[in-house]
Amino acid sequence: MIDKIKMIGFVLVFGVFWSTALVAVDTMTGPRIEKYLLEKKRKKVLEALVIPYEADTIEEVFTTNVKAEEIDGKTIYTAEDGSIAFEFSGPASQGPISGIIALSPDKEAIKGIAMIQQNETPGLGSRVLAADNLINFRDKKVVPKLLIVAAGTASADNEVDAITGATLTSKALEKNINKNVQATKTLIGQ
Amino acid sequence: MGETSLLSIFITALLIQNVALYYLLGMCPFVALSRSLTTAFGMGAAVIFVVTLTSSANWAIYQVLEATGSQIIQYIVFIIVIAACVQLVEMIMERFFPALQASFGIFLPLITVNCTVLFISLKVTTVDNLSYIQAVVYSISAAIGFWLAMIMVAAIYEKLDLIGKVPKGLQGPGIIMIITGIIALAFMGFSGMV
Amino acid sequence: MNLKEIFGKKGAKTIKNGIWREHPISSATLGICSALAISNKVENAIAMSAGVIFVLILTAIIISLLRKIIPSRVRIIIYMITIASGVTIVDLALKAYWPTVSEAMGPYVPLIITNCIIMGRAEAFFVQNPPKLALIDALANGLAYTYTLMAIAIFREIFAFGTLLGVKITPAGWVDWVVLAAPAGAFFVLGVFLWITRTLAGVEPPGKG
Repeated sequence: MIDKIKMIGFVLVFGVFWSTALVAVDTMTGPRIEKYLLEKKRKKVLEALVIPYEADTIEEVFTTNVKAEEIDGKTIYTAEDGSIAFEFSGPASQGPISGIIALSPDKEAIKGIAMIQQNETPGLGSRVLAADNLINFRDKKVVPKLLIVAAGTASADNEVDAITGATLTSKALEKNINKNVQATKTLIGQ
Repeated sequence: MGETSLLSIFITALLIQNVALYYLLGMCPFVALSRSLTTAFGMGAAVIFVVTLTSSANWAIYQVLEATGSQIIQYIVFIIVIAACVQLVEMIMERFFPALQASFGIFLPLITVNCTVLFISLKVTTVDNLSYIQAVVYSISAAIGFWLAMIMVAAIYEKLDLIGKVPKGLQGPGIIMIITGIIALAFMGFSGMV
Repeated sequence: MNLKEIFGKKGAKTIKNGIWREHPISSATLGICSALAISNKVENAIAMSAGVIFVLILTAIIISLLRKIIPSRVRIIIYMITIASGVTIVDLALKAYWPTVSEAMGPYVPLIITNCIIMGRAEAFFVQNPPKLALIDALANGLAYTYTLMAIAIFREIFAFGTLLGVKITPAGWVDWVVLAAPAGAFFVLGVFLWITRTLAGVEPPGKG
């Protein structure tokens, strides 16, 4: 009986010691981690809204230029010129993707897109979601719908070239953008 | 992953993001036991059972951890729960199902340190934050996916002698890796199904 | 500079065994879980190796120091608590000081807990040996793990992305072997790696099933 108590006692003391140690480490690293996550979100919003910033002026630039408000659980970021940005997400070929998309003040064209998370095939699907390809989406119209068409055939102002060999990711992006834009526009009453 | 249907969770876990072939987990037992169909079968069955049990338990416990703000000890708690569940399963099998214990009982202790079990518990809580039903469906499908991968590799390995002689250094773990790589490539074709 | 002179006879044997003969990755094929998943970029491999070495050392010291008072029947739980705590610390440290790598490695960091090497050494060595030897063993196993992981990562990053630690080193006109960036590629590279090391170390092939 004594042995059993000793055993359990040892494990408990050991467990409590380590839990305390971990709580200490957590308090030390917590603020840094939170700051990083907040900055990350803000960076993406600024990127989508095409507002320039420096590494150490993110907070400043964000607070002066962008206002965040919650409508029905969705956060909408409004810039000074009236453009809005919000998070979009949905399934793609290798799993979910998410990012921030910004619309022009008249809500009819894309101001910019910044990806937050994606797991697409490196070298193929990933290229569709890379920053240098997302630039092609700027000023493209989302009304009636954004269309991603075969590489080299984009003509209308709501069409963007796809990347050959990355059809699935392109289609997924198109679907997710249209769906999220529609939903948000309905949400904010436009 | 709020709006994903149960069916899409099932197919994704089974084929597209297969725990062994896409996330590359559970390789220790995978390599050791994919050499014969019978062991592959047994290990896979044990994994399905243990995974579903432990991830349900850990899901519930995680809700408590979240409610009390003590997620910091999540890893410690999860791994102990997994070890405890496996011990429990072993004891129950020994007492009530001795025949079953004889056929796949030896795999159970191995499962405690199997990355797949911990991974699935983590995925349904912190990574994807699923609801209970989604968590259960995900666990079962992921485990079946693991089992499927093991059986396919074992089946091919057993027939290798018919094709030619495997070089000495490649026998065992080496050739298992290559076979698994080919199957993983094949599974890549499933992407986009959902 | 004879190994024997620096570490003593037992120490030298421990090192040789840890790094070559009982090489965790090749002859025992342990610990490859995490090795495969994040081995497509050298940066990730460095972070993962650092994490594993840290947990190995922490576990070695703690378990070895306490080895005389750990009740035998609960020793596995004690290993688990130690390893899980060590990994939690690594996870937090990565998230705070190296966040891009932490994001790239995602859920693989907590999987260090289930890394067979650490548990295996704790039971087979740390709990039966004094801290100095345990530390040497931990470092030897950690180094073995590191060089395997780095070998695979260097190969994969160069051929799949054309870069090394993010710096482009392949000549223009080189077509990346993208398949090596996908998980399937990891299997092929590891398979060949195992072939080479097992042949060189003269390891006997395993019996049937």
